[in-house]
Amino acid sequence: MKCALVTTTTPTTFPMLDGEKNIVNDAVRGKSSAFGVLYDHYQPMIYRFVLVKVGRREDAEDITHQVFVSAWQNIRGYKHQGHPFSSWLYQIARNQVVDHYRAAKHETSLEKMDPEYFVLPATAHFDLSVKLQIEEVRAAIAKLKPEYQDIVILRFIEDLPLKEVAEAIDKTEGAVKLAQHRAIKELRKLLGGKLSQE
Amino acid sequence: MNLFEILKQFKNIEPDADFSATSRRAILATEPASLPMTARRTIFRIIETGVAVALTGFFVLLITGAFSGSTIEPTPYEAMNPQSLHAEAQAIDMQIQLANLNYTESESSGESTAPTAAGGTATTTTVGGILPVAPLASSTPAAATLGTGTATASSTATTTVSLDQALQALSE
Repeated sequence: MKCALVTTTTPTTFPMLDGEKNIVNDAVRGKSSAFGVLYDHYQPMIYRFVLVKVGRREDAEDITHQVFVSAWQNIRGYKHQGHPFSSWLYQIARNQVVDHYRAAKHETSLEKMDPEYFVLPATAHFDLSVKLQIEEVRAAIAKLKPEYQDIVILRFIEDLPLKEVAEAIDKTEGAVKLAQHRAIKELRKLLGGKLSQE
Repeated sequence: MNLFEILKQFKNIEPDADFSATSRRAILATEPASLPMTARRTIFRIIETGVAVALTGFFVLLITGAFSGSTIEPTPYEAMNPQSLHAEAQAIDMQIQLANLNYTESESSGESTAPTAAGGTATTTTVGGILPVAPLASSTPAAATLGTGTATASSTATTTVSLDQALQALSE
């Protein structure tokens, strides 16, 4: 299985679903078709979130699958509190990534591995120069602390508004605003002069 | 290309279509788990059960009360009527051999006899109408089998009386 990449110039956006509350309520009542709609809408976002964090496509697929298995198994306990459903999914995804690293620590040291080796096959459809830049940025993001990783992915890759990012990572909007500046500053520092400063 | 443009490129990364389809099918083929039993849910379940039992009992009482009328008294039963019971008792032809009546009469003579298993009688002297067992047993071997309690004054004849007569005689 290969990761399909779409090289469109206008990135797709994933706003909240129309009538999401009703769809979520149906899913909470155990209606699998409603959960299927949520899966179709949010699965790419969760996949990217996980892939940027773990780097390896196979791991990203396994974790993404596990996130939605966990969400479906615990859907009856979900209570809609005005936050988008994606906030809940991101929280599950963050926990799954933590569990993944905890389990991987016993098997092998990921620090010793070259992260480029894992993510490059997933970016096979990009031009080589773009591919390398993407990989450099991904490797730099992976070196940020988890909170900054989350903010960079949600705010600058997924284009989520401050409010949704704040709900997803359980912080205030002010804290996210402050942290995003620090995260970008840290990211630039890690990248050095490799990228354009425009 | 600057940093933000490269970050935007990440959004073009899509999961593999086969993986998505397989994962979706596998997830939706299962049923979501039921909620775990928390303390609050347990208490609520107990209260719910209690209320259900109480309401059931109330409605059962309500229904049975409606059938038995406005009072909760038991239905009168003809066979339990004291008058009919008395009449029924009167109708019975009771033949009771009240040898004790003769026995009390024999107290005046100071003698009592007890029949033996062989049909004979044992005569002893009594004080106050009490039968001494030991002399009786020593007088005749057959007297050891005494136990019927039938006593006669001078003969073994029995008297047949009705129940009312017997009760009246006893009260005297």
